[in-house]
Amino acid sequence: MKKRHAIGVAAVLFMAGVTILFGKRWAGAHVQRWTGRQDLGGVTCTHCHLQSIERMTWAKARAKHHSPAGIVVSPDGSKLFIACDDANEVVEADVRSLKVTRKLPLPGAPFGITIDAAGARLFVTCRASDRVVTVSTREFQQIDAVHVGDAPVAIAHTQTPAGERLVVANSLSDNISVLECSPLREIARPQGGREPFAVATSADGAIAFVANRLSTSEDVLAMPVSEMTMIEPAHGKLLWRHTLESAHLSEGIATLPGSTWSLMPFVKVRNLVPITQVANGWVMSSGLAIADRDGVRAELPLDEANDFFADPSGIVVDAAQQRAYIASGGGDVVSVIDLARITNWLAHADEATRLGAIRDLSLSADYVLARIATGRNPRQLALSPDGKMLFVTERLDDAVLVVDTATLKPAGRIVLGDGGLDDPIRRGERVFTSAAYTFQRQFSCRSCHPDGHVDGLAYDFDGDGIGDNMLDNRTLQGLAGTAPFKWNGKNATLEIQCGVRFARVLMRTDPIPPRELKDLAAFIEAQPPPRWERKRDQALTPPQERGKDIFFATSRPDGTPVPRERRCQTCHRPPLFTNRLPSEIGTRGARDSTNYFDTPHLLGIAHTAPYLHDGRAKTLEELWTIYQTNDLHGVTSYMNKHQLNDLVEYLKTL
Amino acid sequence: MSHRVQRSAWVAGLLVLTLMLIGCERPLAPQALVVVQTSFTNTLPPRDLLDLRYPPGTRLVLMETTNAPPRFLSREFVAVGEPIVRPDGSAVLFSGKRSADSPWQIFELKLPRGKVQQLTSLPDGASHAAILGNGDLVFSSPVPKLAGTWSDARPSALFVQHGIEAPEQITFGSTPAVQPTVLRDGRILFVSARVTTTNTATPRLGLFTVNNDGTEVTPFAVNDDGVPFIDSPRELDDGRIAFLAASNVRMSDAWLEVVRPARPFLSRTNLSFEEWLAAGGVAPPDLDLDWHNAAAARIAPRTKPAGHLSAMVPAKRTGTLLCLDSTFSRSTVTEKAARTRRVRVLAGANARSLGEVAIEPDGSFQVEVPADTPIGFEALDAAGRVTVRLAPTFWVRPGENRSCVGCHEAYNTAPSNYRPIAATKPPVKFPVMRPVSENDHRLAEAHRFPLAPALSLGEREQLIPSLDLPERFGAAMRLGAILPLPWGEGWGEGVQRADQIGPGYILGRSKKILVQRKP
Repeated sequence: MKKRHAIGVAAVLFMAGVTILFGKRWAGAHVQRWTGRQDLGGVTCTHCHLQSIERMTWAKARAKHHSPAGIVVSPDGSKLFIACDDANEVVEADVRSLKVTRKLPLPGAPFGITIDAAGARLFVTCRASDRVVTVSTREFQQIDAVHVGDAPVAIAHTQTPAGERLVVANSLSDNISVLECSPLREIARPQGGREPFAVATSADGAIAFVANRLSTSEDVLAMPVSEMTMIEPAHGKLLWRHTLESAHLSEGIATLPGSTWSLMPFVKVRNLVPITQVANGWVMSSGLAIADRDGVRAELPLDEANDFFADPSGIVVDAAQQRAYIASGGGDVVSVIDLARITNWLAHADEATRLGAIRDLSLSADYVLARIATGRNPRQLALSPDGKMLFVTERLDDAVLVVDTATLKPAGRIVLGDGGLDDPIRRGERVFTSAAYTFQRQFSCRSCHPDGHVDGLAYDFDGDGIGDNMLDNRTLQGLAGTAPFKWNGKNATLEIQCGVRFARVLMRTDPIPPRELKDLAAFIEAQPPPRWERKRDQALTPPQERGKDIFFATSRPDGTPVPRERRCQTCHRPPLFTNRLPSEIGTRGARDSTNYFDTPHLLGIAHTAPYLHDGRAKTLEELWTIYQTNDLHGVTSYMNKHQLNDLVEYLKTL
Repeated sequence: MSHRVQRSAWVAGLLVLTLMLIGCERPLAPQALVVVQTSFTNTLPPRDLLDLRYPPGTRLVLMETTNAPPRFLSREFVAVGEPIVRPDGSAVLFSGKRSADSPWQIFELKLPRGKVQQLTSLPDGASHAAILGNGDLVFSSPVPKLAGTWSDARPSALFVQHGIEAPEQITFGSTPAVQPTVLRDGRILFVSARVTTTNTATPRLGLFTVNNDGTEVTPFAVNDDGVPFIDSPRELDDGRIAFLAASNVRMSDAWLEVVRPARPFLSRTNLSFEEWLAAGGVAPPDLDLDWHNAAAARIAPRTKPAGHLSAMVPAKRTGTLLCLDSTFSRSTVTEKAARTRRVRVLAGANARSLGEVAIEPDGSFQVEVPADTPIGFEALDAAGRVTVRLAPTFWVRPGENRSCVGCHEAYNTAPSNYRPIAATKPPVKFPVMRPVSENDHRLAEAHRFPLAPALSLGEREQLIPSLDLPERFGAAMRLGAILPLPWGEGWGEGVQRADQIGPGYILGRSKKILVQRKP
């Protein structure tokens, strides 16, 4: 009996061994057959199989928080209205008692908010549902709604000779909606720059100034430029487009009553300079652009020689006191600017000095009156009508700080939520948005990845030598499940990617502590690709269907088989559209050290331009019209322009 | 009760008593100070700068409150000075000497028990202790001779020491680096002098910063904008940098000055004693008329300085320098700099020329230069005349990539955003000019390598690390042979210009190439 038992066990072990041996050989041959490569090690079944969107962190339900996005004060100064995008609510608070008085559930991520001159109606942009909603302040109920462009964020109300108008910045469709107010009706949608994100109107309603968050460039090595768009609100006509060189992350804009000026905080980025240091604003610094209808008048630094105030965002102007207040989301500070001193400085500076002033980090001490410490991630500001109180959204503390503008000291706080300290994703967002992890607080993760996405720029890290391996900035959205990371695919986890290595090559100070690094990874993995739920349920148009057929084609239209390793779906395998392996697609540049680059996922690819590892392709079309080499990046040489267009249309649905 | 049990009980009792005594040690009062007191009675002649400031008999005193009796902490020392407190408030570091003839060294006194440990053992002494965010020690060595800090033939340098391991030198300028202090952002602030071409007895002192690994040496503040001598820089609670200023090297008429970090080169002003106290300055009471309070520090935890992870590559012997636009400079020399066509690279305290490099059309150039050596530049116009000169002042650490905006660019200037042409090409490499070591020399002689007597090692000969030696040299290298090097096969391109170089020889296992430069 014992002998038979032993024989049985031995037989099972033998069979298991044979199965493993042959299984391994078969799996190796399978990988080789599909990729055409024999040099791949460590490939597992999960590189191509057993993945599902539902298992991704970003596809799962997560805790919601009362993070204040937009705020506006009623004309009589008694009420403060706050849009809470994460909680899908608009909140009314009493300014005197600093208490929340009413809440209005409003689906679609209410983000930007403004109010009419009489204080009767609120206008709210719903970022996720692409709508503008009118809310009655008396009943605190929704009374009207209209669809606008994609992901509307900022909104401004103004009175024009043709009537009341709303100007809305649509961040994802790169355009600006101009609306009539009663009832809500879109009358024009002119094109903006890349990611319109802030709107302000002149006091006479003649001009609306729109700040665009991202920049574009003709070439990856050319200077990026962002746009300040000026339109006529009455009819929605485009007036001027002014460019700002090497400017991005413009998330606020204000006009100065009694003046032709518009004031726009921005980040002066220096991505073309090799990152051999970060001191002296070598990578980026914060600035304030002063523009009028004739163009940008001056770019002034907001930072100091040895201290930085990262991620400038909201701005409000107190015309009576000749002051501007600017929130620094990364520095947890509001800077107080003396506009009279700036006016005086401008009067004595020639044009070259005015436009080059942004490089002089000693200058800001001339006109920065004070730095007011705030809670975490101050983003938007509002001023009471009498200018005596400044309201600051502390986005990641779920609160609004009230500042006495006479003393420039905190005078109270409106509490909206508990701050979400129990939520690792929220804690990770605090790490992500804070500049405290960078030398002299120069920038945060968000400075290059606004909303966890891209800034559209390529950078030259010097760890591998000056000028070598210039790299496009990749999106963090939809990153969960796509390890390894970095263009060379050398970082197995986000903790490795963002830990000691980043501290050494970029942040130049202590690494992020392990617990906070874990939270940061949790936050990044919770970032979904833009609009994935809506795209998943959306029916494809005929061109998109044709493009899908091309993407999944195994042979050309004439029946010639496409080699397995050159099919789109082999490397960009659904559902994440990556097999997480390095690929050679013939794009090695003169200063690159490898032929192989990590295969990126394609979720939300329409919004991640530029493309390829060094960002050389401005559009998806250029991947195949300019940068295709011997059909290495998929077999496309047979395609005519219609087929290529179809393919691109399909990719935009991912 | 047996004898054994009795003995065990005694041992256990003693153990408990000891633990109780340790546990019950009284913590220091929150406002406790450590003060260096100097007697006015000393008449011994000083030998170095610390002797002058802290003569024999100087003592370290712990003052907890004005009413409590002082506690003397330095009974085993002839002299002590320069007390600082660790950021966590756990220990006092100071310079001290245990006998009149011994050099000054750095010591650590643990609080509150007062146990002393010697941290440095340098033959020429160590002074000016400071503490990095990770707890490592920074100090200056050698201790300047009495003739003057700024005129010693062997200038003081800064060192970093982990625990009681061997210290690592982190500054390599041709002028002294002294008085380090660690800023909250992690940089080391120190006093040094600019190299001048004019023959003047007064040094041009300034405040400089450097990272904890010696990279990114940068002027911080003070540039001919006040009295020449400065000393003892300290970061105040409000972020300003206070220091002593004086008109003479002995600092006999010193007063307090301050700069704002927001605009350090444009904000130098006097600092009143009251302002200094309000910003965290320490002023112990003079309780004993026979003793003068020479220095003091508050024993309290403070914000730990930030750290810095080194990106150095210790195995390398060079660093790379990228100048974005050599025609860009401060307004005083703008016109001259605009004429720049070539740049001559200088190295060493004697400003030896390593060679020249043509600047790109956008004014940029990129060079790979020897590490840990003072480096300077001469901007040359089309006729070869020097237009702007930077004497060998700064250095790069092994593997460091360093950039500058321009030649003599304005302080605190951020770069313009453009792709410098020089960054699109590999750096121009200058051979490492380190002299041939004695070992290499012996190896060459043993293998009858013809070293001409007229050749001065380090002038006409250079050692170059082998890059990609062809396979066929592998066996010979393992044998330690010296082989003639066939230039022109392409692999010698690591040397700047092969046509300027005569026969080369592989130095066996040293994996280096000895080459002769043509006159």
